[in-house]
Amino acid sequence: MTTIPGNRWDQLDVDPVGATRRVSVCIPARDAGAALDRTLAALRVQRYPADAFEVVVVDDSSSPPLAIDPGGWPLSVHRHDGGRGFGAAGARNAAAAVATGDILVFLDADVIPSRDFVAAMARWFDATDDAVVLGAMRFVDVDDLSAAEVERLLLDGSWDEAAQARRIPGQDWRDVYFAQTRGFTVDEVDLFRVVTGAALAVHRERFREVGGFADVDIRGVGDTELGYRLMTNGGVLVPEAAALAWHQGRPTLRGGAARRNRGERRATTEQLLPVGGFRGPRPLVDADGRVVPRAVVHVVGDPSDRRVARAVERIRAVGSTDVAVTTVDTIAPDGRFTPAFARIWCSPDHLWGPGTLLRVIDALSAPDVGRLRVPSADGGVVLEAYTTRSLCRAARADGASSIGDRAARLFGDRWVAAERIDLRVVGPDGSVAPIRRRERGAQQILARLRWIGHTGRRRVAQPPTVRNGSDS
Amino acid sequence: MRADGWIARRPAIDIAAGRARFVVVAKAVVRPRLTRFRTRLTETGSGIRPVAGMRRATNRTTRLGTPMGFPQDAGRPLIELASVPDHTSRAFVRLTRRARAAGAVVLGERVSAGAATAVGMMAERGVPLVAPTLDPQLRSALGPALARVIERPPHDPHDAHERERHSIAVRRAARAGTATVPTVSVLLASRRPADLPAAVAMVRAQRGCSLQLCVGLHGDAWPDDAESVVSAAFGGELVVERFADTVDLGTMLDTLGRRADGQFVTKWDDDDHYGADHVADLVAALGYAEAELVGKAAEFVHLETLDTTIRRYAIGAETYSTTLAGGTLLLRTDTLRDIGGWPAAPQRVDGLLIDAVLRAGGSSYRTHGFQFVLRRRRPSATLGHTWPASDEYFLREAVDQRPGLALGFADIVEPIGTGGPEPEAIIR
Repeated sequence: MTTIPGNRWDQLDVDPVGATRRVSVCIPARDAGAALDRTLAALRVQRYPADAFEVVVVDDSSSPPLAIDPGGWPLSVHRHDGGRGFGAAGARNAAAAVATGDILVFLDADVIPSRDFVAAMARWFDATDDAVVLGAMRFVDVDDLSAAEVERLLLDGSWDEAAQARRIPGQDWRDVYFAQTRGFTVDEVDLFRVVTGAALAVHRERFREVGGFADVDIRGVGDTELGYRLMTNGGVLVPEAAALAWHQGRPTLRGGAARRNRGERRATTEQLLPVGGFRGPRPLVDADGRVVPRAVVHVVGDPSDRRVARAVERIRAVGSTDVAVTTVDTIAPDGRFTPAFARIWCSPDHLWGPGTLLRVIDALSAPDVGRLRVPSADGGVVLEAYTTRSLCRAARADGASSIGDRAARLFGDRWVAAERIDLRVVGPDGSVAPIRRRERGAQQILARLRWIGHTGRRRVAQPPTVRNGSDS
Repeated sequence: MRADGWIARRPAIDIAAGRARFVVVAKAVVRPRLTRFRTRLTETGSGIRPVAGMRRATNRTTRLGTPMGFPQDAGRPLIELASVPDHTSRAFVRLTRRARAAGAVVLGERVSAGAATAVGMMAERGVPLVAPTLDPQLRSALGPALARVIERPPHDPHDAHERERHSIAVRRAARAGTATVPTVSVLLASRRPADLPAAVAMVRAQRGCSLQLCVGLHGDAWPDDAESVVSAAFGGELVVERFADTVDLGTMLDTLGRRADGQFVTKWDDDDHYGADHVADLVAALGYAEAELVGKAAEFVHLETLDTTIRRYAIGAETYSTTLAGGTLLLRTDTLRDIGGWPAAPQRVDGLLIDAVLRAGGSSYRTHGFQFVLRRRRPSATLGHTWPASDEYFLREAVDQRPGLALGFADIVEPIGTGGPEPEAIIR
């Protein structure tokens, strides 16, 4: 398996023809009717070895229950009675639970996949199990077509033309975002915002590690939130244009409903997604116990030591719901998955200022930073911070070096001065070193004045005091 | 962006009577300009008289062809030029002013050989010119060096670092072959036998100038045949002197400076890293800035303890300044003699030299900081530094960084320090 830096999916070497790993196509369906028939018809004509994939349909409390004929191909139908509330999370998780494939392809019941859909999705997993493959979605009005007609159009190669003629606008913002991030190759922290469960492929183990779809009762949150956790678990988001899928009908949310939905989901996304663009700068009130912390902080030392206890208390005080604090014996980064954006190991001898957490998070949010370290005066390290994503990926990467070093190699490495992240040294007597004033601006003004001075008549000769070179 | 890497054309705004097409994809940042004054110098000898002081505004016409004041900020607009105004027109002056602030300036295929002079002037000013395909006659008129740089795969116009690197390459190519080859004496005082081979190799690798190497072997750690070995390693005009431990650094440099035969003299630190165009760039800066002393700020610093290369001062280059790294100072040999030679002192010898030049009425100029990486050794390393500053100090100043010794970060693209005799052969 290949391990790639950041989100450079374009560096993965994949076979254009396709793979043969076992795939389970998971379809949650509620009262789907003709739309599901068209979807299944399209799956029946996939260009993928028939013995290497199965279709798992989960009937999500349909009334009456769905009546689907397996028709001699590997299709199974399961019943999930999760109530009639919103959300396909339970049904999708149920499908994943009974699926037998290494690769889970989630497809909505009202989405018609192109003939290469499964093959295009699956081929990336030959290169890496970290792939999170996103299909390309178009919208089409096909109410006038029967399942048999869809199958015929796909088989005789005229489907694209027919679908193009029936195309309706929708979700073009994904294409804009794709261009802004140079095709997802810039490792922005919010790449996951384009993830949708309607056409998504993920390795079964990665799906299990992150806990599957969360049961969120607001439309438009569950898919994004799963995308965040998959990405945080070291996932590589791959936009696969060849995995083209056609949503039957217009986007479910549009116009006023979409605006209302944005308002409804804001509070939930702020709780569940601890990254810029979703979480504001202030810690949240954790009324329902759902707030995902920005960082898990590991204070190095014995918890019975007063210094350590004081440091833990201080970090909790300044971090509030944005941090979860533990104590550890030593700085030893590991690849354990946690939904927190970052993991931080720090010495108890440095006092966190009010801005420390956000500055660390801010630095780690840059596209080329996976590890951030603060050096000590004696050549050691007083704080070591990682994105959870970099550690999870590094844990699965080959190499004899430590996980931390591998994370730094894959996602970038930065040093930062303690002062730049509002971190202050605590002396043996408990005193705290004051933050030095930033003198750069003043120095520049003085240098400018000196320069003006030495070019004028009234210049008072004086040696330049701002020196930046070394002698031999 | 197109498949070949070029940025697709966007809806354009025609200005200057349709002669130039500007495509703005990012908002320009307008910064207040500071009017600069320079000391008027008499034009005899080295140009310095001890009682200078009359002021004059810098000649605008002269400055038109120089990179002085080059804006280093990122986020400038991308500009596409379908044509270039005549280089004597006001439209050209306005265009050049805007073009210098651009992330990239794309020359269209219809820019013809008639615009060669204007394009050349823009290149000298540091306009980050790029072109997917140059008109064959224009390519011929610009010369192979400049044409090759302009036709390189385009840099990211929003990446200020890459934009500045490209601009420097354009300036360098624009002046290639236009001046006589200067003679430069390199003053290299060393008390670190282990570092000298790499330092000599970096001097030898300099291009665009004829070099004399003046080496001062400081202390008693040197083998008996060090002179002959250094001579074999350098292969050019060489002066080697030995100095006792008791001789201070300033006196050493003064002695070496008095033996310098070149038109220019430059100081070289034995433990820093230099690119092959370092000296030529300094000589060029001395010319266009009409300064008496030029140098680079220590923008790129390799912190050995952290094994990382940082950049500080992402702004402030190409201005009159005293913020210069000691290992980059360059001045005319006549100027050094006029101020009485290198000031004798055990430390701060660079600061004293700058001060002496300023006191004599001269000016000091800071060119770009690329092709020079200051090396900060581990605290345990022998001999340490004459500039006491902690890694914390440099990290506070850092605006960007790369892991390891990232010479490419500072535009030192060719590894220098190989090809000569093995270090063991020089230093036994």
